[in-house]
Amino acid sequence: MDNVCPKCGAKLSIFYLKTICPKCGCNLLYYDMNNRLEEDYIKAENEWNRLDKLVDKITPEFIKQKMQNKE
Amino acid sequence: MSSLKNKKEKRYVGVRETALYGVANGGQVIGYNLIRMQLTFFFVTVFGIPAKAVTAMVFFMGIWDAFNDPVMGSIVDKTRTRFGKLRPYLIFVPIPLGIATVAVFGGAEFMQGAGNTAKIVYMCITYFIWEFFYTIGDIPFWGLSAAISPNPEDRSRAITSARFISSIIGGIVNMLIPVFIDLSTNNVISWTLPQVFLFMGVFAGTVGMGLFSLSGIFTRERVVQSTKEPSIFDSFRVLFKNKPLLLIVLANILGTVEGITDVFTQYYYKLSLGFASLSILAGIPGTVMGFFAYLLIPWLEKRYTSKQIIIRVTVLKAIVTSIIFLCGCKFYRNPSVIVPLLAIQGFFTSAISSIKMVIPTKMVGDTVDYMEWKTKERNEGMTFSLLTFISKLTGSLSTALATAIIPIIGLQQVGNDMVLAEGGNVNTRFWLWGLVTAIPAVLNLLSLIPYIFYDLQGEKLKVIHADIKARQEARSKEVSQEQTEENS
Repeated sequence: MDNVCPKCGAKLSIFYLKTICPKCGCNLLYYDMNNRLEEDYIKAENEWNRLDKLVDKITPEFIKQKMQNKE
Repeated sequence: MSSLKNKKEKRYVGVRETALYGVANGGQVIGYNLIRMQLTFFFVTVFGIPAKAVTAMVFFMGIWDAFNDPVMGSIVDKTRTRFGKLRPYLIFVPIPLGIATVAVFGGAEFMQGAGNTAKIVYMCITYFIWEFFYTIGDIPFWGLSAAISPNPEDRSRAITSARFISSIIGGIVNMLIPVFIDLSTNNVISWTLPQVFLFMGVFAGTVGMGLFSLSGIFTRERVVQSTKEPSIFDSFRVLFKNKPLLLIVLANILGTVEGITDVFTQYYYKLSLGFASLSILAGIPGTVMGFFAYLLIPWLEKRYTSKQIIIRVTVLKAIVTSIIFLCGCKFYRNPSVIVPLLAIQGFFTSAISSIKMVIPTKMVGDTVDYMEWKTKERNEGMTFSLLTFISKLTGSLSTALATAIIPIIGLQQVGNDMVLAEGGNVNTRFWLWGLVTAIPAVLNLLSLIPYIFYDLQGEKLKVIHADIKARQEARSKEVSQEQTEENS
């Protein structure tokens, strides 16, 4: 849970619910949202790739071969 | 890396967030299952409240729900905070909901020696508070499934995770509750029944709600809400403009008849086959397949649109149950033939049920996108409150429908038991066989009629998602630029 302002880095209490940063007045939800989405995308891709590798490790060889043949 | 994938295919929700959303739903169902399965037994047998008072309270709470759900939905839609409009409820509501769960199930222990009036007042107050906080937690939870990501595939994975994990945790809880009750009534443990229920209430209120709060703490809302807060009137007005949503609602209402199978299954096993416990044996393949079916969903989604999946599985269910019905037509009194047949039917119908737990919820999320595209307003709260209300309504309707069918097919209520009215012209056993197999599934084909007019799929949906994405990026740029300029 982000408890800092994405623009000025001001610390925010969990009970501070307003959409505007009390220090710099920035919109805490939408400021720099595109970049934050991009960060989420990279993080998510890494996590899914790690899971894919794990699934690949524990999948028996004959199933992998069958899947490769299908592709 | 970003250039490798088209923007609309990007996955924004990682493994951890997807899993935690599911675990949170698992925590939520601990308390919900306790209420759903043990409400009457607890209040009547353990708490000692007259059954009529409990029935009256449940009835009035049902009516209250009809008003409560949309009002809660519109309150959620009016919320604007730095966490978004849904997450604040998921972060803070588990605390009062946990306390309310303990209060409900601690009643028998806390109110020992109290008179009937005091007990009834206590039950009404605590249950009302529980219901209030449950609703204000449930609507944002399912609303979040449409706001967790702009990518529909992320949403689908989150919903699948929630349904899958909650069915596992819910299943374990459902098994443990009667075990605890038996241990107490047979004096294997020294706890009395009120103490057992207090323990279960504390468990659901602390562990369950602790898990539920994860959905608020470890998730993010990734869609843009309008700056202006919509009024309650606006929320209602917008809802009636949402044609795809109204079609889904209509399909759900027409599908009410499907729910009567559950009512007649227990009568069929008990009265026609003579052993209620045979249902456990016949249910094993279905239980296993119900879990595995969640793995099929991504595969299905790659090949078909949501509408196509719903149509195919509904038709498939009608075909399978009709074949089972025909195969068992001459053997419907013979357990050695019927149990394997119902096991095969359960194998297919459980898989279809799991698929239908995920796909319609995802489609409702699409209708939220559609309204944003059309009106620039997202109304997750109102939309999912309507869905919650409709599921409660169809549950009550199917029970009412089953109750109306009971005397027609020759079943009779004698005391607390249901018996076969022998000697009449109606072949009750045959009707029961039809009602646990083909009749509900074939009548459920009617629910496909609204889907003929449902066009929120394919290219149209792609255009909508692309437009929303472009608007979202523009809005983010606008906000960031405005504030950079203000500062300079």
